[in-house]
Amino acid sequence: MTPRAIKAWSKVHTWTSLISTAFLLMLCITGLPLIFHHEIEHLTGETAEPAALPAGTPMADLDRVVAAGTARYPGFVPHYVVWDRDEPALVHVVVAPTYESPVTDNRLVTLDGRTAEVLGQPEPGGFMHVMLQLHVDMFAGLPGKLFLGVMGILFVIAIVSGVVLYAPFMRRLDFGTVRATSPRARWLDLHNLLGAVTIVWALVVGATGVINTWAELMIGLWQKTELAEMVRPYADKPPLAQHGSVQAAIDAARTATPGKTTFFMAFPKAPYYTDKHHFVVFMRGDTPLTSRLMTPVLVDGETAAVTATRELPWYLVALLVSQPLHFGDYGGMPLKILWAVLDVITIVVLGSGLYLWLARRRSRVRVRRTEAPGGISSTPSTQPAE
Amino acid sequence: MSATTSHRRAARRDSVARIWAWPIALAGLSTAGLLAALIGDGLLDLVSWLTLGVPVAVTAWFVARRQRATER
Repeated sequence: MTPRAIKAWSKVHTWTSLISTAFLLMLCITGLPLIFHHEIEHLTGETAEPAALPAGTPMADLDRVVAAGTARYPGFVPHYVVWDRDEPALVHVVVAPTYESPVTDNRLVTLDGRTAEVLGQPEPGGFMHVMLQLHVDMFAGLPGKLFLGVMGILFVIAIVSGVVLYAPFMRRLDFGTVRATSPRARWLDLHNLLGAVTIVWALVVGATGVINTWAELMIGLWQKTELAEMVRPYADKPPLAQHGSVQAAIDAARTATPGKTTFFMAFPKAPYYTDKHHFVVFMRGDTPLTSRLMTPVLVDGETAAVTATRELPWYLVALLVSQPLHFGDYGGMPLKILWAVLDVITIVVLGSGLYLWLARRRSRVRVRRTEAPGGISSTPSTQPAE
Repeated sequence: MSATTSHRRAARRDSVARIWAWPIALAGLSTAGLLAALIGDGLLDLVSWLTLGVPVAVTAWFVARRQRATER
């Protein structure tokens, strides 16, 4: 590589990193507890373990479960039901004051789906809630998400430019060398070593994080195109006053998609996933890969008749497949621990990068001062070999 | 082609291999680890822990080696 090319790439690496570092540090730090959110919620008692019941205990009538969950917030209406992926007995009910309420007014109630017993209702403002909001949008809604998405793109560019610069810096060093000649040399070598080790993980988590920042836009697009087509026959009907049986709706959806499992359902009039007339039940497969994919089944909110079903478009498939690769929740506890270790290594890479920039700037100022009266300019060992 | 150019080329090939062998091996292992747990459970989870664990172990080893070297 020519010295000019090195200089240009180095500029790209410096500036994409500098702009994004503060936000990336925030994301790495808030992401750390989020990896273990399940365990932390159990430890802090935010969500209780489901009671030990004989295997094969059937699920209770879903209308009863939803009613028990909604009763925790008098006057609220149910928006969604989510079936827990890891603990099949758990059912989460999302409620809100009205169907038009902003998403920040949503409340979650976790129940044992077999007994309709309430196990937890995390209050907003708790530690995990703050971590999640900071991580997702910094309490700034869609603009916050899109902003963090741009920071993620800069992070990806910083990684790619870092890879390009790796060769000229490492030409005279064996892999893993950490020179003890000066703090700058030591931190540069650590930055290169830790960066090289985490390249793929950081690229994958960074890129899938960026995709996740577009989730709201993608769902909006699906709603305006695919969902709008599916519900067109109902366009002239007045909004449903009272929905019918929830249990009947999921029974119908299950019959329509043999071999699939309920994953998520939206109540008629709830925002994002449905219209004013349908339950939309999202069914997932049961192999590791198909369990990430969902098929929406539209069920008439009054009669429980299945009115339409179609596979999700490619962009939602991409979103759903990218999510486990961001969360690290798809390979048990050892994978979560590796996720946490790689996250901490990334924090060190970010921190050492910032240190190197500051140290280099300081020494440049010093060199300029000593150079002025005709001094000798030093050749710092932290420059790439040419 | 003169003997010196081919010699120089061979040397460059050597240094490219020397620089990139470790990072490419670690990247390959990481990629395998990230995908294994995604496409399967059980044995593939185990594969994922091992292949993703190697880069972490390698880092720990190199950093520990430096620690020992500075203590001496």
